[in-house]
Amino acid sequence: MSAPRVTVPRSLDEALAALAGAAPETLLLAGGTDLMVEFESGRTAPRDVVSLWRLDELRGVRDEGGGLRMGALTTCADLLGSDLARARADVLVDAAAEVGAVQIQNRATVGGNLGTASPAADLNPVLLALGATVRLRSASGSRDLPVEEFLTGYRATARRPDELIESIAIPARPAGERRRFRKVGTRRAQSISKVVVALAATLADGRFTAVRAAAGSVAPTAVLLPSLAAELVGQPPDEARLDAAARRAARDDAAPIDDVRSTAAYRRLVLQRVLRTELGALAAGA
Amino acid sequence: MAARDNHGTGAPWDDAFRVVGQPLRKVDGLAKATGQALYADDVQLPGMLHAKILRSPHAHARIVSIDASAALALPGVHAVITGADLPIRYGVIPWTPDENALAVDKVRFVGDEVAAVAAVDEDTANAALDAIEVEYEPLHAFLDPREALATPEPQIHADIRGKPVRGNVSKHVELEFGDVEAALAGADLVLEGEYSFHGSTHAPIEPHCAVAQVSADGLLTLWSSTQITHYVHRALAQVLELAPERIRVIQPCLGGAFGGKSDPFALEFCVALLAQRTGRPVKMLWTREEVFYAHRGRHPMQMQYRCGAKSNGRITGVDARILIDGGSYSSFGLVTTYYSGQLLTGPYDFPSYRFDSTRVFTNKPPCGPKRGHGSVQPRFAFEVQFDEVAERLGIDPIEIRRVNFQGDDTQTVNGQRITSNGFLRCLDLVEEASGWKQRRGQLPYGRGLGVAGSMYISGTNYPVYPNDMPQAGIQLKLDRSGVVTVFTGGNDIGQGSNTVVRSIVAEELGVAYDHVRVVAADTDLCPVDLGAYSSRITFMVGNATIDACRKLRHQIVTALAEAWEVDPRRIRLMEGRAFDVEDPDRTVPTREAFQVAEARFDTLGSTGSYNTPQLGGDYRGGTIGASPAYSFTAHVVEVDVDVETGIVRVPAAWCAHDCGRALNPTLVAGQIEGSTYMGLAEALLEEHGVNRFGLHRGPSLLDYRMPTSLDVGDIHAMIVESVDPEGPYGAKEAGEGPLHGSIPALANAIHDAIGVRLRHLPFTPGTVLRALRDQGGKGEGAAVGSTAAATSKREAR
Amino acid sequence: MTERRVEEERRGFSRRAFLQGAGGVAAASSLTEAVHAAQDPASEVQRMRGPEEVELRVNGGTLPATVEPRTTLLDALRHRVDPPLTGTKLVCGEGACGACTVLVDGRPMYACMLLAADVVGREIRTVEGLADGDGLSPVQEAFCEKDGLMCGFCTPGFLMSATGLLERKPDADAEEVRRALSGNFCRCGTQPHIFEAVAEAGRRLREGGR
Repeated sequence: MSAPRVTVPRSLDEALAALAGAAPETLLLAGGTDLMVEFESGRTAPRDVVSLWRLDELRGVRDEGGGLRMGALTTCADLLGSDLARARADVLVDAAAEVGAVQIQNRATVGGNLGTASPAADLNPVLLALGATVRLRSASGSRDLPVEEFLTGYRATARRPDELIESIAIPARPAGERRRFRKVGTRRAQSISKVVVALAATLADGRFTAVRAAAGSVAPTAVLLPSLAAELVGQPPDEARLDAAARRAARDDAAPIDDVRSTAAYRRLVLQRVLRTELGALAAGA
Repeated sequence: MAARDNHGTGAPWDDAFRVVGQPLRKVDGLAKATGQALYADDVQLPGMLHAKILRSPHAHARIVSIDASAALALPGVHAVITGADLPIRYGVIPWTPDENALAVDKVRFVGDEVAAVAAVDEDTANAALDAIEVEYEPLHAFLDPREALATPEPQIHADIRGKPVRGNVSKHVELEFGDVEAALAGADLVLEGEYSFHGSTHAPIEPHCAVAQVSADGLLTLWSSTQITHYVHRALAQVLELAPERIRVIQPCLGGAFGGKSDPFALEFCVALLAQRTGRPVKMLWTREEVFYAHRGRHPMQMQYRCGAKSNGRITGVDARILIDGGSYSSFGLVTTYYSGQLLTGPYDFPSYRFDSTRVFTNKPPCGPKRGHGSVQPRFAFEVQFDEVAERLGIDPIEIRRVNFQGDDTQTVNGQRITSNGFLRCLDLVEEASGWKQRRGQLPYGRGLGVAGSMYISGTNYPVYPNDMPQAGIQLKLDRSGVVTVFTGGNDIGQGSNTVVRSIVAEELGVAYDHVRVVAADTDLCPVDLGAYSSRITFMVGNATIDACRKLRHQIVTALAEAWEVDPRRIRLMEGRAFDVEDPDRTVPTREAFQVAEARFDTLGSTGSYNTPQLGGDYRGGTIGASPAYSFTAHVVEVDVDVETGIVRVPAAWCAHDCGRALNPTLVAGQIEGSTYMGLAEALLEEHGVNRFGLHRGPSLLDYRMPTSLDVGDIHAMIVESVDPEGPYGAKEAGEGPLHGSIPALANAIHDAIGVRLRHLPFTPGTVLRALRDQGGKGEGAAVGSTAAATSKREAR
Repeated sequence: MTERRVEEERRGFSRRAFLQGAGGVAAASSLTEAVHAAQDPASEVQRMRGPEEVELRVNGGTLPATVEPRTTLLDALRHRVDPPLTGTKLVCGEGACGACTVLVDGRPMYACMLLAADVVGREIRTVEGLADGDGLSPVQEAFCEKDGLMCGFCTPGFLMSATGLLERKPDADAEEVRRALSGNFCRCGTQPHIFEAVAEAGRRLREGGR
């Protein structure tokens, strides 16, 4: 056994240089709120770690085309303190308020949520529902990926070993878009979610014109719920329609498991119920 | 001998207490608020090595061989020990020594300790653990107590103390008082039900830690996060085969225990032996995960209750059958088995009562005493069934508890002596404060109120190991400076027992509160006290403290009276001064009074002690659970059930507790709040269990979900003072009793809220949703858990 | 999925495999020495495996500490500065309980989840830095007065979270107090007293305490 290697770059360029030619299993450490748990338990025993925490270039929230661009190291607390984030991505801020507790919010980052791709990462369903894109950066350039293409499976992403997440963009809010966020956890803080739901939808002339929904903790990673759109777009928000949509999404779009935090049956049932409740609230204009 | 002298229950000087009853600060509050308080892991000694333990990955297996040579060869490794080095068995209960510090021949649960390493640092010690080769021959593992009961082979323990174990039965107790069958036959209503209580654990914030050092003259000093210094001292002597005079055990500041630190643990023996072997100080700090495996928490119990009642609500008889899942070792299990039956016979009058309790061994982390040891589970079952009796008979649940009140100065059906009993007052208070009469049954669907009552012991007269010496001792030393130093073996585990001792001394000797220093839980310095368990410290150490103070007080008063040439009855010691009550101008600071007394009587000091009177029923086991005084509690819990997700919240709980006299009302309130908090937490959020391989299902504080400050509702603590004739100034316990009723009151509140009787803990969101589904709209009598299952469980016995 | 779950269920004990454990000044660790010998000198400049001398800004002063890049701030405070700052407690090691809460540039964070190397240059405050020459801070004073502590092991963490809140918002309401303290576990169930203490401390701060 030999001690692992840790790189603490002081600038983005240093970080990119460190990643050029990095071993595939090299881990990127941001706020550490997920990875440090893995390290403590020994579930993850990296040989190579690059700690990004000191890269202030990757912090901050700014306007981009009427939407929002967030540096990868933007923390939940940064979001909570940002009027711009509140105005442009209200449900993301709502989700940030439900992450862990204050100490976690001061460390958990938007990029870290995506990078570890935990199925229970609370921000990811919101990013999916809001149509966010991930900007990946390497020494050789950068590329943008929609979140749903970035998250590829259980703790798996499309990031190449030489890349890091530079920033995340949320497009401008479509006119009239209504949004909902809901987290179900057993305790009210420091809770690993049982079910997370994020919804974004527009209605015109009494019919859904667009629906984008996502859920967390009900599949190997955060997932879109395409059935909702399939059931609802072009339809009026009547009770039976909302019932059917929630039922179908919970049945077809989720693949929950039994674990120590909950059972698959509970997750599927509660996903359906929460979707139904939130759709109702959304349709009612709440 | 050494039974409590009758000091009365009043104030020592005139009518009013000066210190007792005041909400005074904790002795150690300042140290704790500045980070200066020294806990075991804060002990850092020069040259100190770090130790780690290798644990069994099997739930049940024979150890074929252990090869530690590669570990020993690692640079930085100083010693490796295995079961062969510590072959002597121990156990906190001397009748059931079935533990080895490190496994000998076999392992009995995932996590059982197999070997220990001392190295220059934790990383090296961990690397050494990886290098130890252990060959196991796996055996069938029992994870289900019913299977363990029904299946005698393979045995988890073949014999204990030379006596063969019957199958996998750890302890069986069957006792009947009166004719239960006749009583049930004569009842207007007999309810029968099946209940279960899951495992939960203490999860003290401080993980277990021990540090050992051996001095040049061979004295072994152990600093340990224990709540039973004295028993650790005895166990070390026994297992290390070391003369007790060569061992000193010190409990530094302790970061919570709740019963989880009341056994001798492997780490204490290991650091001691490793320190002996290496000649260097050795520390072992358990990880949070290891604390979960060390456990000794709440026993899972499967309980069948029958309760007969007359149409006026009066109980005619209660019959209980209890299967107790003990986990892999005995721990306090003998006592647990008795407590599961013996402590139910109040605050209600049971004309007849029978219990049949069987504790079995299983290949899981050993269970032991968690706050409310042994009686929390039966209390849950009975109070839920009792609530249903009230419902069936159309009697208000608080009223039926009044109707059955046993009274004070009486005896229970199983021969326990009840002295003071403030239970009716407790009921009145929670009824009033919760708005019971206006709100129960009137709240909107999903919200409800429930009630429960309970009793608990203030220590017992069963001293764990039989002896005629006092259960609690105190030593006082008076200094010319005016300082009084108190030496107590009592373990302050955060409950504030040192503060209680300080208050009593300040009251008795009239010295300023901060002129009393308390030296505690150091076996070299302090007289023996048996430790912080069974809610005994305030009661027993308190009485011993008064005893010691009265002796000194007599000397001081006598000396001063002689000097002033007045009748000693005119002397008062109060608030830092001594004075003549008939001539208040004649006064000196207590410091000078001490000096007068020292001149008259020589160096001043005294001892005091407490032992219980002879108590308990005249039958085998009759003394177990026999307490010199019982506390009584009533809870009302309010719930808010989210029927969409099944999540149950408790916005408010009211707990009225009869603690005899509140020596420090702030501390008592803290115990009431803390107990209620802990009960609600284990009922709603927490579960200590293993998966099909015997591994803990979530040995971390992320998955073992203790409540956060957003989950804790408003807990209203109310104190009832019945002034017990046996307690110090009339005080009784407050640290465990106020847990019991919180759980059944919660269950009963859920019934009020959504019409479902939950009989099986924990009340997880999934359980609640399932219960609602099974209920299918019909409210009454729809228990969760089918009768078919109940029948098969009975047959399995 | 299923295979992963079975594997997860069978997984044995946790053992830190990355973060540094307690004990042994880094230089004394045989492991670290062994690593040095094996290390590639070419990568020495940028990537470190062995111990490094850093300066931590703690409680208004500067403390030298020998840390490895994998040393947590908690470990550095408790074991690798002189004198050791043991007021900050190790309880869960995984950012759940809050007993290791410190303020980093005024914000409460879990010291067990921070690498010491990541906070070089940041202003760190621990429980030892709350009281000054004039005595206890208003938060400490209120915790003592309202009996906001029992066993005391969680207390330093609660004090830091409360301080972090009140210095930013002395008029925090009851809900904000609960929220700010929700990352700190108290197993003694002292919460009612803690809430009272924080409310009292806020009052004192507003009335011009320190």
